[in-house]
This record gives sequence, structure tokens and C-alpha cells, in this order.
Amino acid sequence: MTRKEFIKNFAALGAGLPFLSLFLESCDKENGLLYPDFDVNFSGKVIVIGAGAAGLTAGYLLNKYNIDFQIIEASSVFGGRIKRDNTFADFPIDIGAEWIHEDPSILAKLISDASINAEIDVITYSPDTVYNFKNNKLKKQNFGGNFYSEYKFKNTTWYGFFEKYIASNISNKIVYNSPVNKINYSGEKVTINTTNGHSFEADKVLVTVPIKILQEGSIDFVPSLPATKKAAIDSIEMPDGLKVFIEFSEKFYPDILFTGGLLSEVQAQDKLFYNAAFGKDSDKNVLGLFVVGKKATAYTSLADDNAIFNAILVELDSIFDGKASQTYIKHIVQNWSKEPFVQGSYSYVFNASEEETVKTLLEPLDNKVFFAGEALSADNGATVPGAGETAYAVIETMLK
Amino acid sequence: MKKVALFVILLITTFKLFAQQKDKLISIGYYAPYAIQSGVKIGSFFNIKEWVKEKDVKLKFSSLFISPQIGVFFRPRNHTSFVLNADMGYKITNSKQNFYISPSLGFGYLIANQVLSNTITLNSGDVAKRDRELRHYFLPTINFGFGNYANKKIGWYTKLSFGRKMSPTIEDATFFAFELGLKFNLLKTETTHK
Repeated sequence: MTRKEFIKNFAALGAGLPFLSLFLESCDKENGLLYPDFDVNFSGKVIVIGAGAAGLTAGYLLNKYNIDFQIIEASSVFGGRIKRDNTFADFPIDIGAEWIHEDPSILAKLISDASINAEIDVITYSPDTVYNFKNNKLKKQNFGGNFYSEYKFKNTTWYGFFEKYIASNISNKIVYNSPVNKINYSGEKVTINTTNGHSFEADKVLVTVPIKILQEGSIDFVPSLPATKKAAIDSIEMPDGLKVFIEFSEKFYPDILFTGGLLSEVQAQDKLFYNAAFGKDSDKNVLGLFVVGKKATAYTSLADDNAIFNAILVELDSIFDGKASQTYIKHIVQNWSKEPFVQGSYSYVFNASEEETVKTLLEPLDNKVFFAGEALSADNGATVPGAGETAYAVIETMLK
Repeated sequence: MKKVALFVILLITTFKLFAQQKDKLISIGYYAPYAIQSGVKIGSFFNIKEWVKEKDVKLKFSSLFISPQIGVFFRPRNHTSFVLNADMGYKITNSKQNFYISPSLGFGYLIANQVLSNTITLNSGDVAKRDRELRHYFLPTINFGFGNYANKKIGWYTKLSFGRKMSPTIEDATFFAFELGLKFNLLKTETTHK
């Protein structure tokens, strides 16, 4: 039984939840939290395509095992859907992946270095105020805070974590501004071509690009992807995604605001206004909006970021009787659907069996082309830790 | 800590004060606020006034009771909370069935040791330090309890509570909880009812 299945099965047994996380934590600790070292049986070169969470973690591991490698990144920065803004507030803001989603000990697992001497502070996001706006009525449902708990970085971000602990020793191995358009694995070596005319060669390749990029076919595989793999790729949905942060002069909003039925919104988890300054050592009033799926499309399909923000401000004014406009200071909009090398949020809708889809996606091509990323995590899909975990699993397979 | 000590003294004093009562009931039960948080509650139970009515061939016992309790519950890696409360209510027992129902009103004081942040050691994943904050709430509740006695010494009970968590510094929130436990009659002498 996978961890995800275990959680699903026991989700209905509310009384079991307090013990569930303790049990899962004890499972991890019992088996040893950190990934164990393994013997390497590979001496060639690896190229990683994509410098997001999975690609950076793969590079970190390859560096650890002294494997010759490069990371080819399409954009001008590393991180992928991990992105930070240091200037908006007096604390760094994740304008991409933000929540840790798991027990914070996962951060140590992502590094898996027993010799590192460092600590990191993580906020327990346990909201005191939970409101729900439905049928034009704003209702306080603060008891809902007892059913919601998340973790966030206190003084840093996912980007800051990767920058300091994962990418710090491998940044010179990243080739930027090089979107890959062809992977030829027909020969003994794998040849990679980019749109700016560069060519790379490696013994093995790890593809970590977002599933949307694979779906649109901008990477030409030679030989073509097997039909089963193509079908698996196409069966996953990576919907639209948007994050907006707005600073106000007054905190008129709750820690969590749902817009719809409380239970349905908690289940759907596709739109959330939240206090982005919660737990931070900051006096700023910053409201965050996270929205994915069809609810995001309603915004991302608008003309530009200004149109998106104006729509959100009108919505907030209708909920809070005009207080949003009255106390507005500034905002930032991150439309992930419009990012050319992402084109969406994350992969959380599987139109076929998730287990079979992930299994098919993880199968390497001719033992030369491997795949990793948030869509391929069996237990923690659509998360940064999940992306990192796939990198650990695939790199171990690749190098053994 | 002072409040806890005072309440325990109150509990013991009340116990002694009502020693002449026919029952010396101690309860211990699983306490689950919001159904998903776990804890334990210990309490005592005293009849302030009792009535006996005869209807047909059956005796119907009722009483006005007070029940001081102390409890602790937690949410893993989120908070540990202590509850001190006293319920006052009306209990109806049919001696033939040994079954009772007991609606009551409760007034409690809740102290939550809330985790604000964790410091994680990155070479092991262990929590090196937790920053916490003590939060204080008043906890008025409406309760409905019922139970059954297997014999004169022991019985089970359950109680559903619904109320409000109220604080001068944090917005109010609805509170609900259930308890399930055992009641022990410590009295050595025979009693005519429970």
C-alpha cells in the first residue's frame, strides 16, 4: 500500500487522523529518513533537461556521486515553477510553489546529507480565521482552522531552499536560454539539440520538463515515443494556474478565505485566498491568491496581468464591501499559464489509472532516456518534495 | 499552572464536600474535540439535589448535578491544550434500565499551547526547537450525555458538546467535541440508584 493509498483509506476515519501523521512519521524514521547512499555502476555523462525542482535535485545527486553532467534549462533562470520575489514585501515570497505539504522533515530528506550543519525555520500555518464567501454572503467558519494545517518556510522560500542547499554547488553546470527541441537516442549516445542551435551529447538523459511541454510536442524524440508512453503523457491534465499577491494598508481579510461551499472547497483545493504574511516577522498585510484549474482559466484567459488583477480587486471589493480598493497598496501577478516553458500549474488530474500512468512514464527509453518530475511521483504528486523524490529514485536507477 | 492547581484543589474539595452523597463517581474518557483531535478527560460527578418519582410500577430517578472535569487534548505538531470545565445539568435515570440521559450546560477554560514554528535540523529532519504561544479561551458549551451502568460500580458514558471558543485576542470559533469513557462508583456502600 502506498502512502497516498494509506492516507485515502483513512481519510474517512476522522478519529484516526491525529494518529495517522504520527504513524507515518514513525514509518519514515523507522526506515531512516534520509535516502541511503548507493553504489554507482556508471561512469559516463548525464544530461538533465530542465532546472526545476526535479532537475536541480538530479544535478545535486549527480554532483554528489561525481558524475559528469550538465543541466539544460530553457529559460534564463533555474527553478521552473519555483520562483521567488524578494522585493514585493519585507519577506521573500514564493510566487510559484509555496507550501511544503508534508512533514517538514522532508526538507532534510531532499538534502539527505548527514554531515550538513544547518537548521531551517518552518511555520505551522494553522489559521485562526477561516471565512467562506458563498451566495453573496460572507460567513465566518473559524472552526475550519482545526481541519487545516500546512507548513511554510518562515524566513525563506522554496527557491531560497534550493538556491542554498541544492543548487549552490551545481549552478556552473546549468546552461540557460536553451530550449530543447530534439532528443535523439537512436545511437549509442543520446544527442540533444536546442532551438538556439546548440548540440549536446550524453550517455544518459533525464527529462524533467513539465508534462504540458511533453504534451505539446515541442521536443522531438527520435525514435518516437512509444504509443503507451504518449498515451500516458496525454492522459494527465496540467490545468491553468495563477498566483497573485496584494499588499493592503489594513488586514480586513481572514487567514483563509474560501469562495464556495467550505467542504467542497477544502476538497477541491483549487482556489484559496490566504494571509501570505501569516507567521512571518512582518507588519505588512499581504493577501495571496492561489488558483488552479477552471477557476484559474477564468483569470488567465483575460487580456493581461492588469485585467487579471482588476478582476480580483472587484471580487474582493464585493466580498469585503469595498475595503480592497480603499486599502490597496500594490500587487504582483504570476500567470503560470503564460510562462512559455511551463504553461500551467501542476499535474493533478489523471484521466487514466494514476498508478499505471506514473509507472509507464517512469519507464526509461532504451535505458538511455529517463523521466522525472512532479507528475511522476506516486505518493506526493504535484508537489516540490514529490518532484525531488522522483529525481532520487530515477538517478539511483540510472546510476546503479 | 496556578489555575490548574486551583482547579484540582477545587475538584478535591468538591469531592470531599459531597462525600455524604450516595455516589462518588469518577469518570475517565477519550476526549475528541472536533472529532479529529485526541485527548483524555477526567471528571467527577455529584448530585446536588435528587428526586424520585413513582410511575406505574417503575421508579424514575432524576437529579441536578455538577460535574467538574479536567482534560487534555492535542493535535500533533500543532498544539497541546488543557481544558478545565464544570457542567451543571439534569440527569434522568430509570433504575430498571440502568440507563440515563443528562443534558447540561458547561463553562470551561481552555489553555492552548500553540506551535507557531518549528526549527528543523537539516542533517536529520528532527525538530530542534518549537516556538510556541499560550492562548487562553473561555469555553461555554451545551452538552448532551447518556450512559449505562453494567453494575453498581462501573458504567460507560458518552457526551456530545457544542459551544464556542472565545478569546479577547482571537476571533471566536465554534467548538464541538465528543467523549466516550467509563464511570466508576468509588462508594463502598450500597446505593439505591446511580
